[in-house]
Amino acid sequence: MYNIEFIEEECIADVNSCKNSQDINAIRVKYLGKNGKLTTVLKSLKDIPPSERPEAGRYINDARIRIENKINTVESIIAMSEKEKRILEEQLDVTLSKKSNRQGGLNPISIIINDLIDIFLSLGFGVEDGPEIEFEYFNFSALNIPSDHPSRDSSDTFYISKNRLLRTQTSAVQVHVMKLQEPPIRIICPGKVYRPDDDATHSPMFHQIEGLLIDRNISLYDLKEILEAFAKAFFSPKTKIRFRPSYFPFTEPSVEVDLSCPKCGGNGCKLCKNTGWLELLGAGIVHPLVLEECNIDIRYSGLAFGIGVERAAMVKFGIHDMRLLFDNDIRILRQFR
Amino acid sequence: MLVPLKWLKDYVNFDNSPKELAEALISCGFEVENIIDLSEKIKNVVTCKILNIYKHPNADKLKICKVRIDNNEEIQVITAATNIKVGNVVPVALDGAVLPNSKVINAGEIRGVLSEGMFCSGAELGLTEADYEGASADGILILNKTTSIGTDVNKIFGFDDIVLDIAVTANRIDANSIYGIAREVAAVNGKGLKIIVHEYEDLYADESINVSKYIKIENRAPELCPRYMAAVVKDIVITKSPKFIRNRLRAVGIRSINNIVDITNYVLYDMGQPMHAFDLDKIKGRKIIVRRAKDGEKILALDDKEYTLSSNQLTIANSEEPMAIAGVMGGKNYSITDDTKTIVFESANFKRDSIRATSKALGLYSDSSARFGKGIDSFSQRIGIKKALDLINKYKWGTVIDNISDNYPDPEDEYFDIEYRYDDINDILGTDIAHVKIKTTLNKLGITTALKDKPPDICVSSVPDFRPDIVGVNDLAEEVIRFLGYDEVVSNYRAPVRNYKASSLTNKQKAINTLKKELVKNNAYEILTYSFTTPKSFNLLELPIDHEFRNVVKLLNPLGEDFSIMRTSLVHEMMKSISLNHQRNNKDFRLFEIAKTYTPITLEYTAERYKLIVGSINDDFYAIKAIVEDIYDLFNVEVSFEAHKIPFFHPGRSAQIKEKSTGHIIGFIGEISESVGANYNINKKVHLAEIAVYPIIKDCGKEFMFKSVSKYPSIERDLAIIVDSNINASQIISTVKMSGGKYLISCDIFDVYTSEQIGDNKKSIAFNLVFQSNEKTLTDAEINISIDDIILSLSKIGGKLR
Repeated sequence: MYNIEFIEEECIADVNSCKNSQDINAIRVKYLGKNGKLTTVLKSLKDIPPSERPEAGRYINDARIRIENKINTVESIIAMSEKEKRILEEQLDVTLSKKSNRQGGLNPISIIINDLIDIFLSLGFGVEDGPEIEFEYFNFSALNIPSDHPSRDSSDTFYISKNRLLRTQTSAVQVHVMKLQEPPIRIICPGKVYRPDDDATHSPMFHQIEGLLIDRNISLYDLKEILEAFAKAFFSPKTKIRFRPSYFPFTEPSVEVDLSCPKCGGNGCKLCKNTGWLELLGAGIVHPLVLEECNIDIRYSGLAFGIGVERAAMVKFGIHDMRLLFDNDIRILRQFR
Repeated sequence: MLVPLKWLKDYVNFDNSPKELAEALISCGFEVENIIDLSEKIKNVVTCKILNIYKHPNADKLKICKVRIDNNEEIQVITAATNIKVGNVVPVALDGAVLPNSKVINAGEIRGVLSEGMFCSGAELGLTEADYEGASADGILILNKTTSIGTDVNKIFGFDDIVLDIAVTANRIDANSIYGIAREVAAVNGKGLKIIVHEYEDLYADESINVSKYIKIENRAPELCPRYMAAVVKDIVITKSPKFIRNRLRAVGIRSINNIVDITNYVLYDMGQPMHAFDLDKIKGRKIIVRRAKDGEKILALDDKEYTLSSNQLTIANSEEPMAIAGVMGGKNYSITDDTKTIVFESANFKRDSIRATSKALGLYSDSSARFGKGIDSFSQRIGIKKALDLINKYKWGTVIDNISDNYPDPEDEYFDIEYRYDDINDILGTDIAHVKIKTTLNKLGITTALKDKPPDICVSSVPDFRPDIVGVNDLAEEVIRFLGYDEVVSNYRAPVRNYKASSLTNKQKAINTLKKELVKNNAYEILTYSFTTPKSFNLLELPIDHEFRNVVKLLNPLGEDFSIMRTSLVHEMMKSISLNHQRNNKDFRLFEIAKTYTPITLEYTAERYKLIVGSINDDFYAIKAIVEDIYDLFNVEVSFEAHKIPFFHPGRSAQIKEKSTGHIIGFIGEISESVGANYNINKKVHLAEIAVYPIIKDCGKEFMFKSVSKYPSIERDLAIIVDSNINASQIISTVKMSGGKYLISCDIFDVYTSEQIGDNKKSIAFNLVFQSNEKTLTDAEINISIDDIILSLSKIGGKLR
C-alpha cells in the first residue's frame, strides 16, 4: 500500500503547486483520468488475492475520495480567483460613451399641439381637420365677417383668386363641421393658418387650435369652465384665468382670455410686464348669425375659442422670437425632445 | 386712439385718477396701452422775473441775474445770454430740473459765484414756434409780460395733461373719438356725460337763405358715399388757432396749420368725423359732384404729388375735374390759403373698404383715410359739421350760410329696437343678474330699455344709431357683462346636464402620431417649414419645364417672390433645412416633415395632400430606404421599389415606390445629384425620400382577424447563387417566392458580393430561406423538392448555384 500513500502525497504536492485551472485539470487527468495513477492502481486490484480485495479496495477508494476532494477544493478556489481576475480585467469606464443612434425629436409646435389635443380629448372634444385653401365664404362670410371688414383686405389675407384664399383662422373649420354634423358638437381643429405679417412676434404661417362646442344652453360659464380646465392642465394647477371684453365678428359676447403669469404666479415680472397676466386666447359665445348660417337648430347655442399655438409655445418654453420656431436648426430642435 | 384727459373733460366729468380711469376702461373692453404724462419731459422749470442784472466779477461774458421765482423767494442765476433785460419773464430750470433732452440741471458755482438755476431757450425746452411765439428765436425764451411768476412752464405750454393711448376694437367705430370715449367713461362711472348743445341745431328748419345759392351738391355714387353733408362759410378769416386747439392737436400728434385746417383735424378727433374744407371760389361751376374717378384721371394732392386714379376710386369733383381723393386727401388747387374768402366744409361718410383700397392702391395714407378705413356711423356727419360751425361762430372766423346741405338718400333709423326676455341675457352669460340691474346697466349706455309685456316678460331695448354694432340680444348681453364685470360669471350658476361622450383620436390621426414616433425613433428631427415657396426652387432642383411639380397654386398678394406659390413637394424646404444645418456645422443628422402639398386640380379645387419627407446627410441609400421600408411594414402596405430617374437625384441611385395593391406611384427615394447638392451649397451626400401619407394610413384601424401561429418547427436553408449583375434583388426574391412551394414562408437576402473570381458583370447573392407547415413537421425530402424547384427557376434568369 506504500504505492497509494506515495501517489497521494505526490498528488497533494502537485495540487498545492498548481497555478490555474489548466494545471488542476491536468492533475485530475494525471491521477483520476482513464490512465491516471490512481485509476491504474484501482485497475490492479484484480491482481490481488480475492480475500484482500475488499480491504484494499476500501483503502484505495478512501484515498481517491480524499484526492478528489482536495482537487475539487483547490479547483473551486482557483476558479473563484480566476473569475475575480477576469471581472477585474473586464471592468469598463462607465463614464465613457459611444455615439449611437440617438433618438430624434418632434418639433416644439407638434409637441404643444399634441399636449393640447390630449387635454381636449380628456374634456370630450374630438379632433377635426379642414382645408387650408379656403373659399372666402367659409373663412369670412359664413363667420359673420362683413364684406368691408379690414381683415379681408389683401394686407391681411393671402388670396389665390377673388373668392379663394389661404385660411386666416381655423375658425373656418367650424363652418364645415357645423354644416356636416348634428349637434351636440364638441370638436377642436388644430392647423396651419396664414396672414401677411412677418416679424419677431408674427409669422406669415402659424398654427391655431379652434375649439367649438354646440349644445343646449351654452353660456359664458361653460366657456370659463372649459378654458380654466385647459389652462390648469396645460400650465399648472395654480393657473387662474380672467375674461376681458373683446371683439370677434363670429362670437358675441367676445372675450379676451388672460392667464395668470406662469413665471411669477401673478405677482408681476418682466414676462407679464408687471401686470401679473398674459394674453392667451380669444373666445366667446358663437354669434347667432353664424349658427343660423350653418343651419344649427335654434334650440342650440355654442361657444368657440381659438388658441395660438406659437403663442402657447412661446409662453411655455420662454421663447421671445417666434421665428426661432421655424428655424429648423437641430441644436434648437434637440432641446424640445 | 390718443385721448388727452383735459379734452375728454369737455364731454364728461370724472374724478378718477388716470390710472383708475385706465383700469376702468380696460375692464369694459378698451385696452389702455399707455398712460402718457406730457409734463414728464420737463421737470422743475418755472417762470421767473428778472429783477437785476450784474456783471460777473470773474468773467466778461457772464452775467449774474437776481430773479423772483415766487412772491417771497428770489434766487441768483448766472447766464451768458445777451437777449435778456430787467423785467423780462423767462423760464428758469431750478436745481434738479430735467429738460426734454434728459439733461439734468444742478445748482453750482460758475467761476466762483453761485448759480441756483439756468435760463432756458425755446429749443432747450423742445419748443417750436407753433408751441409758443418766439420759441425759435436765439437766446433765452422771453415769455409774455403778463405770465404769472413761479408757474410750472408745462402749464404755460400746455404740457400739463395726461394722454391715454387706447386700443379700440374694430366693432366700436363709435368710440374712435374723444366724445365716443367720453360716453364710455360716463357709462363706467354711471354719471358725468355732458349734453352737447349745438348752436346750429335749428339751421335745418330755416329755409330763408339757401346754401344752394352758393353751391350745388350732386351725389353720383351713393354706394360709396351714403351721406354727404356740406356747409358754406363766407367772410373767412384765416388766422392762427387758439392755444387750446393747438395744444390739443399737438397732444394727439397733429401739426397746427391755420384755423380752418385745424378745425377739420380737431373735429376728426373730437367727434370722430373727418372733415374737409374747399376754397369755394376755386370750385369750377360752383358744383360739387361725388363721383367715381375716370380711369387715368389725374389729381395733384396736398402732398404735392400727382396721383392717377381709376374708376373704383371715389373723388369729390367739380364740373371739370377732381378736387379731392374722397376721404383720403384733398387737391392742392382747391385747398385753403391765406387768401381764401369763402369755404365749403365737407362732412361725409365714405365706405371703409373703398377708402382702404384707394389708400393702398395709391400708397397714400392720412389721418382721414385711417379714420374712414375703420368705418364711421352716419350719426357723426351731423355732429361733426355742427361742431365745426360752432367753432367758426365762437371765434368769429366767418359767417355761416344758413342751411346745411344734407345728401342722405337712404337714411337709417335713429333707433333700432331689440325685443327679448331679460333671462335670455342670463342664459347667454351663465349668470343670475337681477332684471332691474340689466335694465339700469343698458340705460346707462344710452340703450333705453323697458318691459313691454309683463307676462311673458318681453322687454325692448332701443339702440341709438351710433351703436351699429348692436343688433341682437347677444350684443346686449355683452354690453351688460362688460360693465358688470366677468366676475359675475360664477360657479353658482346651475350648469345644465350635458351629453358628454368619450372621445379619442380617429385611427388615421393615431396613425400620423405613430408615423412621427417611428421617424423620431430612427434619429430624425421634425422640421417645420412654410407652405409657400419660391418658383426659384424649380431651377434649384433642376426640374424640366413640364415637370408636374411646376403646376402650382399662385398667391395674388405674396410677401415677395420667395413666398409666392404653394408647394407641390416638400423637397426644396427639406434641402434648405439640410443646407442650413450643414452650414452651421451640425453633423450627421436626419430630418423629417409631414405637411400638406397643394396641387391644382380645377380652377376652384386644389388637392391638399399630406406628404412625408425624410432626409439625411452623410448617410447611405439603404439606411434611408430601411426607414421607409419599416414604415410601410409597420402599416402593412406592400410596395416595390423600382429604379427610376428623377431630375434632382443621382441617375443610378433613385427609385420610385409603387403600391402593390393599386399600382400607384406613392413616393420616391434617392441620392441628391452632385449638381443639385451644389445648388444648395452642400458638398456631402444627401439622401431623401418623399412619400404620400394617405396610402400609409388609409387602412388604419380596419378590423383584422387573428391568425394562429404554427406549432411545428421551421427549417432554414441558406443558398448562394451567381447571377448577372443587372439582375436586381427584387427579381431574385420574386423568382424564389414563385417557385418555393407552399411551405416557403420567407426569403431574405443577407449578402451581395462581387469579385474577380466570380467574374466580370457577375455577382453572388446569398439568401436565407425559411420553410414551415401549419400541419406537420417538414422532412428534408419535402424541402429538397422545393430547393430543387427554386434552383431550376433561378437558372432560367441565369442564376448558377455557387
